[in-house]
Amino acid sequence: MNLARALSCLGLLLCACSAPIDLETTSDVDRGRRYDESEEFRREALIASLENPSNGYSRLRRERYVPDQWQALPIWNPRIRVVSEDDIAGAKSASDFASLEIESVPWEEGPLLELGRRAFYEYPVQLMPFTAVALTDVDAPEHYGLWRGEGRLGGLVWTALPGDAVSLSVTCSTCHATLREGQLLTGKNNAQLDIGSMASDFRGDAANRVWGPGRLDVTNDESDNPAAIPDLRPVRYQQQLQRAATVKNDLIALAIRTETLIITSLGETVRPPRKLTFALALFLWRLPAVPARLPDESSKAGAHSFEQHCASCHRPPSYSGPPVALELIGTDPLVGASSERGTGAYRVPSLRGVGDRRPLFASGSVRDLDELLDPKRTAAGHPFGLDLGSLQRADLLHFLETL
Amino acid sequence: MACDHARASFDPGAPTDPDAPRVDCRAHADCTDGENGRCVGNGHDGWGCTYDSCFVDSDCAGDATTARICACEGGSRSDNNVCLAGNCRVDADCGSAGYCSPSFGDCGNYFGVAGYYCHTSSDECVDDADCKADGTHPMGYCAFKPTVGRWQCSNLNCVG
Repeated sequence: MNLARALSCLGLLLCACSAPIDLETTSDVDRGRRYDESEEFRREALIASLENPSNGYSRLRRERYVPDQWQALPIWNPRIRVVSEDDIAGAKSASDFASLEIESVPWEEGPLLELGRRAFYEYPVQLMPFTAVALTDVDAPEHYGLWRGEGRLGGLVWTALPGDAVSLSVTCSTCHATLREGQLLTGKNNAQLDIGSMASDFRGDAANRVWGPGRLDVTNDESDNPAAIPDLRPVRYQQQLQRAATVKNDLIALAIRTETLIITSLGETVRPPRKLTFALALFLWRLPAVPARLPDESSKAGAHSFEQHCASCHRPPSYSGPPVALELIGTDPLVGASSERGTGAYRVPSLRGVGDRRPLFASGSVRDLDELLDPKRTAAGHPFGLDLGSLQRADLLHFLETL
Repeated sequence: MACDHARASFDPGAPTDPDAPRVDCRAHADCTDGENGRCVGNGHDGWGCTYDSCFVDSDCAGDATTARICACEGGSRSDNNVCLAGNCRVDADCGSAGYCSPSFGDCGNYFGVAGYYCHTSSDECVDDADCKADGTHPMGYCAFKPTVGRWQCSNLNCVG
């Protein structure tokens, strides 16, 4: 180790023990390393990120994101094999399983981003054996909304388990990637994915089919409140994570959100390596911007309507903003009022890339921007911009598509 | 051990309104795509066909976890036979004085019984009551955890 490296390590060590971190001068990677190494730093970041300390999501984390509980769980980096077209209606191979290489990845931006990309597509975040129904014949993947691309099928992975067992698992990319015109769009919500139907058909009943494609009920609140799978591409612009504004967003908050999501999704039995969860968060933070329409005269005119009708909540340059009370926004309140994740408000989603976002609203009840601004829309709530004339509405739509 | 071929055939009670949502069948006779088809449902879930997926374990010709056990009448909302994960189907499969139990997965009752597993001395719970006693799992249940190969208390947590 050279002197500069040694001093750098010493600095990190001192930083981890005492002084508050300077967000202006510390790099994202240095913050990630501190997240990995400092229990105190992680705990403070978690507490600071919880919007409503008393909901179930926050209480569970405040109680268990501590050294003798979740931090003491065994680190899990199982051997996996990517599911591909060859797995359809065929026997899987018991060989060629391998774990992600994590230890040797240096704490540098480029290698961490590559680790994050691999983890996004290959790290199992929940065991879902019932996804086997999507591999029964050549039409099944499309029927259930699984994408195919880059030699992968729906982001599913075979996961090796104790006792020589193997399970199908989902990865981040199962829900948050979509194939369009032959190109895999990383981060884009998979609006065709029908997890409810997969579960129902595996068991031979109709219980979860009601969720419909692109939606999933993730809360243990005994309320039937499935939420639309979000588009992660604008995540760095969101002031809050989760539809119900449950978590105040920043890079470390996203890493902790990802880490604790994986812990709970795996039944609080194991935990992911923190280098991996930070790499995942960094990868999401650096996702490229959603391609947008170029400005024209119509969109410039639409900017005026945006100022009048939208900008008080969707504030430039992030086009996000503080959460808005459920009674004020007036949309279906079930997700925002959940005892599990609710805050009494909905987050104000960033409008970056909104021209390529569908469906809209937490419940996914609005198809797209056209329907959102349609005065004859039947889905309740978000009444802003509904009284525009047809020309003004067209201009506003064009402006939104430039963001 | 083989499952029988009998299934209940009560009136499914599906709405007759042709515009009613989520109604994929109205009578058992509509369910002809598999064995022993029955139309089942309710006002919340809608109506759909259910079939017997298996009668013996060998009908579940899957891999190590997704399809080992043919659970007779094991459907979560109906009495159809389904293939499930697991390492046992009766207590005798778990050795002398052993016992075999159904387990939910990590999504709890959202996705129904995930499989049948033996209990062992390394388990941290025996039944759901063990998981509610200390108040830390208010909606807790005792479930088999494939990631560690034993039964533990669990909160319901679907990914997301």
